[in-house]
Amino acid sequence: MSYSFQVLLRTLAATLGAYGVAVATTFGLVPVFTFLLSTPLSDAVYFSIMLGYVSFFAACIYAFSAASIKRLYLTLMLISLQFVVLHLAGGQA
Amino acid sequence: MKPDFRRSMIWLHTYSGLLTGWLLFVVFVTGTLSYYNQEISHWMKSSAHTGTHSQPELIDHGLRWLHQHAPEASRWSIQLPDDRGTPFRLDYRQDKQRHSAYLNPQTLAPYTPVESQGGNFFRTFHYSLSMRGWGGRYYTGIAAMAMLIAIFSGIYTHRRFFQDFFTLRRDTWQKMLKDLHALVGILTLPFCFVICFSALLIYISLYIPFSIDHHFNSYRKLNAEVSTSYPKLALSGTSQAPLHRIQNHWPEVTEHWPGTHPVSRVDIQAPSDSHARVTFTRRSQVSLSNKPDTLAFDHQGQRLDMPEERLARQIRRVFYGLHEAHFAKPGLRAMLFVLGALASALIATGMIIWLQKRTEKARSIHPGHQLVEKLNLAVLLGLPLAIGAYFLANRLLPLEIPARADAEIQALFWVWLSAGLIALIVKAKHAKTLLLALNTLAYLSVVGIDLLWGQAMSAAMVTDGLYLFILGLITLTGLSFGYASVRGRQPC
Repeated sequence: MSYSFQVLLRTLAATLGAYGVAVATTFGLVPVFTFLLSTPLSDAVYFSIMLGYVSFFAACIYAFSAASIKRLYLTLMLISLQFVVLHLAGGQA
Repeated sequence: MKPDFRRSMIWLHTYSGLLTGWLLFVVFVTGTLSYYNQEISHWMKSSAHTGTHSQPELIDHGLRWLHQHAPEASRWSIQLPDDRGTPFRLDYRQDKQRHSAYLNPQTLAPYTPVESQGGNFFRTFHYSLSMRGWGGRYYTGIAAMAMLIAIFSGIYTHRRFFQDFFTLRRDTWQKMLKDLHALVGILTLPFCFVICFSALLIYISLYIPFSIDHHFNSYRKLNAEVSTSYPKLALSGTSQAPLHRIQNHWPEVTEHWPGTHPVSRVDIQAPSDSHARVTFTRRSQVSLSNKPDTLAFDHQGQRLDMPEERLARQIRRVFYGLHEAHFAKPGLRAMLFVLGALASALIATGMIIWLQKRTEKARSIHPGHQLVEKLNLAVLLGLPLAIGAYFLANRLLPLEIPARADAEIQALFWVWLSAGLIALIVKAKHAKTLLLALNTLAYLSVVGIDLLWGQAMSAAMVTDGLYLFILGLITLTGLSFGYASVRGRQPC
């Protein structure tokens, strides 16, 4: 894989990928707050969004420091998936 | 990508900084000026803010004036003068239009201030970039996140954090610039973190709205749910002579808010309805939150209750308040201003260092390097020149021309564009000399105009500390540019 192609893939992960993880966080953490900590829904949404920024930040840093591209994309997808599952589970309950 | 974490972070620091540096510089410079929003507005509009009347006297006078001039209005507001240069202003809403009148707080005579956006232009520009409809607030949001990443990754460029902090090599310009960048970076680190994170929290409804939309349909609904407010006013329909004295409410106000100048504004809803409501807003220099303390009284003089807001909302309000810093008293405000200026310098030195490192090594000049060099000149020296032109236009434009406030802003953008053209066309070395000289000229001529012809230098203004403070800052800026253009041996 050429160097510039690597940079492109990592930049994509750091922007679109990180944004995806952030949005997933803002959804996935809402049921965590409401069920585990019995936070009112409005507060849960607020807190999840604040933590969504933290997710974006962390994903962005990770995008440029992960050892391999494959691992980077897998990790971002798994984390997003976990939040999606949490969100769906929260919607069911 | 890079063999270890540290080197990846150095790479990330370099390129996240390079790509967003110019935008960040613009946002930080205009944002820093917004710390003195009221003070700059006062200087530009020549408004009056000092007097010997007490607050109840001013409010009573405002009520009498409004009663006389706007008896039919659906809402009256009295904005009280303060020591930051806020003028004594009466607003009323009549026929669905907002009207304002300015009164001199000493003589109580009405006057017309100079028509200008004042410091408020910097405040709106620093987050909307005058492109509110074209995604301006998204670009500044991206810049805020990029800054967070740049300051985090910047920490890893120091192998010896503390040793670097106490190092300032003055033998060559390059080394000094590098050491300065490191020193200022460490100094402003907490400041930059709070500013950028709070900036992101202000516009959560723009930056990541999806979860809000899913759970609440719209941000407005969420906001209505978490923010507390007074119950909606129900009009009685029967008219009544409006309130003309504040004496019945004042004891309770001073009981809740001690101090000689506790109130920043008074609002009267439906003044001539028998259900009229009076709301006092406390001066914002007391609390960190961006929600001001208020006291509202119904028509019977009963105080209305407003429930406390919940923690999540309060946290965001405190971040919002920290960003706007309305709470800051003069000393703290000056410190924040200096921190903002240092953060701007941090960004500027970063851009210059990037270029220097590469042009030193390269044998032939790369077009990319040239582009950065020209953009550096157009932004790092072009923006200050444009701001100087804005101040100059404020002093030179005739007072009576139509749309004067817009003309001042146009002057700013045209001068900035011209500075950009100079940077583009003229050879970098000469362009830099020229722009530095023009900057010096612009700022010092503002000072010259004020000292020689100023309508401003009337006896009242000489004793006005705020006016002199802003003029002093402009003088200092002009002298700094003068110093840089005389000693301008350094490559930029």
